[in-house]
Amino acid sequence: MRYSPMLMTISLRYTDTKPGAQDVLQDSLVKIIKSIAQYQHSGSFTAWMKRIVINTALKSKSRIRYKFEHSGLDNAPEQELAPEAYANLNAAELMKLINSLPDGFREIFNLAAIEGYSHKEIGELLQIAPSTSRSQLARARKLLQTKLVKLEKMTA
Amino acid sequence: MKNYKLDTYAKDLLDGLETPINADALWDNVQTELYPEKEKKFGWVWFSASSILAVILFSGYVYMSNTTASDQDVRLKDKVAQKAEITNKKKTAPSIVDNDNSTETNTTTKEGKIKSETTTIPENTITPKQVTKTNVAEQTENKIIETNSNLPKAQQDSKRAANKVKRTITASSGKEAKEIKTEGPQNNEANTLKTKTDGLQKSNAPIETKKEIPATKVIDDETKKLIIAAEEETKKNLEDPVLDTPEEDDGDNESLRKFKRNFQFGVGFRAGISNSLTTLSAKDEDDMQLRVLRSQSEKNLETIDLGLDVLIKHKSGLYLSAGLDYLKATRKLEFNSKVTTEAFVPGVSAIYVNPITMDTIREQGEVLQTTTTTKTKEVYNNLHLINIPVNLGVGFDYEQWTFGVQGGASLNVFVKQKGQVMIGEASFYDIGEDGENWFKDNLGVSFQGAALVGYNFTDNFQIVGGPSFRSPIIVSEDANPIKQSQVGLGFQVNARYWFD
Repeated sequence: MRYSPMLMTISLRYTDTKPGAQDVLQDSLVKIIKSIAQYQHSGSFTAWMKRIVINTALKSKSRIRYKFEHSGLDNAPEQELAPEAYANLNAAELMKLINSLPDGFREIFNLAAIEGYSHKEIGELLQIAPSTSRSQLARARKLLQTKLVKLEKMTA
Repeated sequence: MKNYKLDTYAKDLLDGLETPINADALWDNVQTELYPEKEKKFGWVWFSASSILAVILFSGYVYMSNTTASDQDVRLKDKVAQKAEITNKKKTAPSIVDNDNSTETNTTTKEGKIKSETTTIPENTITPKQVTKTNVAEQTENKIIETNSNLPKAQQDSKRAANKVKRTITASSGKEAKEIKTEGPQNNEANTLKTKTDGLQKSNAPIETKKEIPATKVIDDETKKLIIAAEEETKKNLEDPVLDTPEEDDGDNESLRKFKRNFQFGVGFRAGISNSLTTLSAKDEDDMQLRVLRSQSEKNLETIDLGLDVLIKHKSGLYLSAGLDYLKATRKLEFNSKVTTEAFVPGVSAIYVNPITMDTIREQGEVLQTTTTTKTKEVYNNLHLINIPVNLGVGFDYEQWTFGVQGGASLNVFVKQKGQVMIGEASFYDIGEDGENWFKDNLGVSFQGAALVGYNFTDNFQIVGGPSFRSPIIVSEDANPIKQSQVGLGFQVNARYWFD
C-alpha cells in the first residue's frame, strides 16, 4: 500500500476527476494483486505497477480509438520559452496546466514527457502510429507553451 | 529545444509525486472487490439456513401446541366414555328410551365448572321424555363446557357411571327454575339418567331450557377405577374403527374449533422507503473500464416498495405472512462533458495607451480563442420489480403497544428496467430497449428482515413500523458484463387487520 499515493498521482494525470481517479486506482490495485504472479522480475516493480495503472486509466475512457486533437496552432510560430516561464510553477500548478490540455494531448504528453515512453510504446498502447504520436506530442507541447506564455502574461 | 527542457522539468516535478489518499478505505474497497463471491456465498448459506431453521421451529412449536396434555386428556376421556357406552350397550337390553323425540345432552367437561346448555325443542313437539346424560370426565378450574346434542340414541350413559353419580341439577325453563334431582340407581334398563322436566311435556311453543350445573359432582372410587380401566382399554384400541367412526364429525368440528382458538387470520398493507445501495462489479478484467464508467456516471436515489400481505398468527405471537410486493429502485445517470478547444485567430493582440495624449494604438495579430463545449445528460433509471415475499415473524404485546421482528425470503418474479447507462465516452445504452439482452432477467430469491414497533388501535387493527433490510437483488448477471445488485436499508410501515 505504500505505493498507493504515487499510483494515485498517475491515475489523476489520466482521469478528469478525483473520484474517477480513485476508481481507476482501485481497479488497478485489484489487477495488480490478481496478476502479481505474472510479474517477471526482469524490470522494475514500480514501473510494472505504473503501467497497469496507466492501462487501466486509458481503458476507463471506454473509447475505441485514440482521440486526435487539433489545437489550431499548427501554423503558429514556435515561441521562445524562457525557463523562467515555468520555473516558478509548483507541481500542483503544472499538473493543473497539463490537465487542462485536451485528452489526446494530455495523454501523449504524460506518456512521453513524464512516464518516458517511446513513441513506439505509445503507439502500441494507444493503437496509433509512432509518427502520429510524435506529431501529437509536438502539438501538445506547442499548446502547453502557449498556455504558459498566457499565464506568464497574466501574472506579470 | 527549450520545450524539451519543459519536458524534463515536468518529469522532475511530477514523476514520483505522491497524492495523499485514504489508504484504509481504498484497501477495504479492494478487498471487497477481490472477495465478493465468498461474501455472497456466505450470505446465501446463512440466510437459507436461518430460514429453514425458522420454519422448522415454527412448525414444531405449532405441532406441540396442538398436542398438549390437556387436549390429549379431553380426547382420551371422550373415547373412554364412548367405549364405556358401547361396552354397556353390548351387555344390556335395548334401551327403552328409543324415542326419536328424546333430547339427549352429552356433556363433556374440559377443565370446567360452568355449564350453560341451551336445548331447543321444535314447535308443536310433545316431549314424552327428556333424557339427560352426563359424562363427567374431569373437573378442574373454570373453563368452557362443550355440549353436543342430538347424539345417536345408542350412545347412552354408562350404567355403572350413572348409578354412581349423584348430582343436583338446577334447571330453569322460561321464567321458572326447576330443581331436578337425580338419584341412582334409576329404573332404567338403558342405564341412563332420566330427568323429569315438569311443564315441558306438552309444550306448543319452542322451549328453551337453560340449566346451570354447579361444579358439584361426586365420583366414588369404583367409578374412578372403571374410568381408569376403560381408559386403558381405549388406549389399546385407539385404532378401533368402532371408536373412530362416530367421532369423525365431531373430530372435524373439534379440529376447526381448536384451529380457531389457536390461530387468527389477518391482512396487511406495507409501504417502505429505503436507500438502494447498488453494487456494480465487472465480471471480467476487460470490463473494468465499463464498471468505472458506470460507477462514475450513476448514483443511487430512493427505493420505494408497496405490498399486500395475508397473515396467519398463532396465539403465541408467531405469525407467517405471504403476499405480493412492488419495488421501484431509482438511479440517476449524470453525464457532464466539457470539451475545450483553443485556436489562434486574427484580432487585436495588444492595445497601447499613450499616458500623455491618451491615444491608443491597437496592435493587430493573432489572439488565442478558447471554445468550450459542454454536454450534459440526465436520465433516471428505474427498476420495477415484483416479488412474492414470505415472512416469519413474532410479536409481543405490552398494553396497547406491540414489538416484534420478522424476516423471510422473496421470490423475485418480474423485473422491468427503463433508462440509460454509459458504455463509452458520450455513448449510452438504452436499457429499456436492451437490444443486446444486457439486462436479461436473472432473478432469484432475496431475503429481507425488519424490526417492528407498533400500536394496537383496536383488538383487530394495528400499525407497526421500523427499520428494514433487504439482501441483494441481482438484476443483471447473464449477458451484462457488469453485475448489478441492489441492497436496501430503509424503513417500513405495516397496517394490519386481524379477523376474529
